[in-house]
Amino acid sequence: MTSSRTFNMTIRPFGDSALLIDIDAGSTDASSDVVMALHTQLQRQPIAGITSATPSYNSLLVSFDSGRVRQNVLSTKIHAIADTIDVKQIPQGNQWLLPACFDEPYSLDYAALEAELSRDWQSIIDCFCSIEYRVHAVGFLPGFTYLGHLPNALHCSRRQDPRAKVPSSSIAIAGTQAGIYPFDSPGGWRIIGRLPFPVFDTWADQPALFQPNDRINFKAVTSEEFKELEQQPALSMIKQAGSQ
Amino acid sequence: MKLQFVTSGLRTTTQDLGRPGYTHMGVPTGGALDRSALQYANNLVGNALATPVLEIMLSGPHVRCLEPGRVALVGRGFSLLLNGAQQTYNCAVSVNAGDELVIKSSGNGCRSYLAVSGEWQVKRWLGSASALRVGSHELLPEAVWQSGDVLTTRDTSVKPWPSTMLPPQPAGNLVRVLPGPEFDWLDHRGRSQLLSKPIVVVDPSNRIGLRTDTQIQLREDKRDTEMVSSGVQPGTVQLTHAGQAIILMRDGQTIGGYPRVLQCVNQSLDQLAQIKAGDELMLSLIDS
Repeated sequence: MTSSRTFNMTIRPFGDSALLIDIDAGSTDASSDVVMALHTQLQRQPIAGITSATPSYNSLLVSFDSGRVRQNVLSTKIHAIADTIDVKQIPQGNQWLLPACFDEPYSLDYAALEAELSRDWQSIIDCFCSIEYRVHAVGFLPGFTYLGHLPNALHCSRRQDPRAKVPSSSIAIAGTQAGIYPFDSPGGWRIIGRLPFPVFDTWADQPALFQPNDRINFKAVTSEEFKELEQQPALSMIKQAGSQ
Repeated sequence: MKLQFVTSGLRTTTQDLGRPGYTHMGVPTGGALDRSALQYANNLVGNALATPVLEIMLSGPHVRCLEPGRVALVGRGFSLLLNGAQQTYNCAVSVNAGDELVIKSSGNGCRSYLAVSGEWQVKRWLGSASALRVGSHELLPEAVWQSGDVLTTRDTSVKPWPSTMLPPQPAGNLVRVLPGPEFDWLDHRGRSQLLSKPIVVVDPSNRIGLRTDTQIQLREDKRDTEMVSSGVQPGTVQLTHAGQAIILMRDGQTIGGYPRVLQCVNQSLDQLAQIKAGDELMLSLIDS
């Protein structure tokens, strides 16, 4: 099969039991499309010896059993699969409109962010809620949701000293990324608000609520509304028809 | 057989070979940190090699046998007492109802594994009985043993023949590594700080990662670079902004944002399981 690829792909060994595939398709979104298409294809057409695959924004980490497949053979097979992928085949994600509270006590880093970004909190939140986010990856922790693109005006540093305990369902930003914490856990990102429902259910058929390629819009609610929504979480998860 | 925990020890968990294949949901493979110890212990009692075991660290449990069976303790850092009498390490021990087993910390090393004969009647998540703690949350709380709990196995195993499988050997503190994806973010000085002398493991070090006392600077032009988050795996050596090298373990994160300067070879993961805070280790680059 001749290659008509619209992206650059490099495959490098990452230790003796994994390959790191880096994708450059010109933009984060286009690269993410290719990563998702490649991951989807590897799930549909599994290669013997692969034990797991970890997609992220512009990379795919493929772990393998070196007793079942040789690194160079695996690399050749992945190149062959990459020649056949079609980004139009990526499973269409869900469309979400999520209520979130960006007031105290949920906006743990509001003062630091006002200072770093030289903007008042209301304009930061207006800016954050003004765009639609795409789920680029689920990882780090079970169900941790990586979102992009954060508006340029909100690009910010990580905390120098990571928090020992970020509350579950917190919404956070760092660098050019946004994310949602599934559990009370340590974390170094800037906490701006919280969702009124859990995002990971261990015993559900699909434990992680959000999947790569889902689209998320946030809608700011008051802390009173937040508390009401916490009591009836089913009502607050507004999934819209994924028709775009 | 049936065992009841009189005391549970500091943290005694069920561990097997983990849950591979779910890293795209952020779920680490996890499982027993020292796989060779798990398999050898199961071999001694006549179990299938992938049967769960108890992973024991820091302080061990005291259990009472309610039904007869066989147990074996393998790994490092602990010894097994049967009704007060010390047992030979790396051997199957037959027990009867009423026997008392105490697993006492002794010597070097960090983790030991107690195999219990039979099929374990325990809860599983994504095909694995392994405990997994995320922050302060236990994803499978039944896999963390508390005093009073009873472990039940269905006795399907036969008394094993003498096996020629060899017990795991102490592997020492020299850990073989390969260059990681961001290895070239280190200059000559950083490489020699990380690779040419012993580094000390410090707290908190656990099933998620081993932290070290290093303060290593990246190449000057990379110091303020925020990496786009990308996949990591057990054995990945990440360098934090503060220059601390962290070696990820089997319960570690699946995606990370710190430069991945080195990758420990897969075989060294069992060895890392026996290294604890205060120990020294030496990272040694395999010439490629």
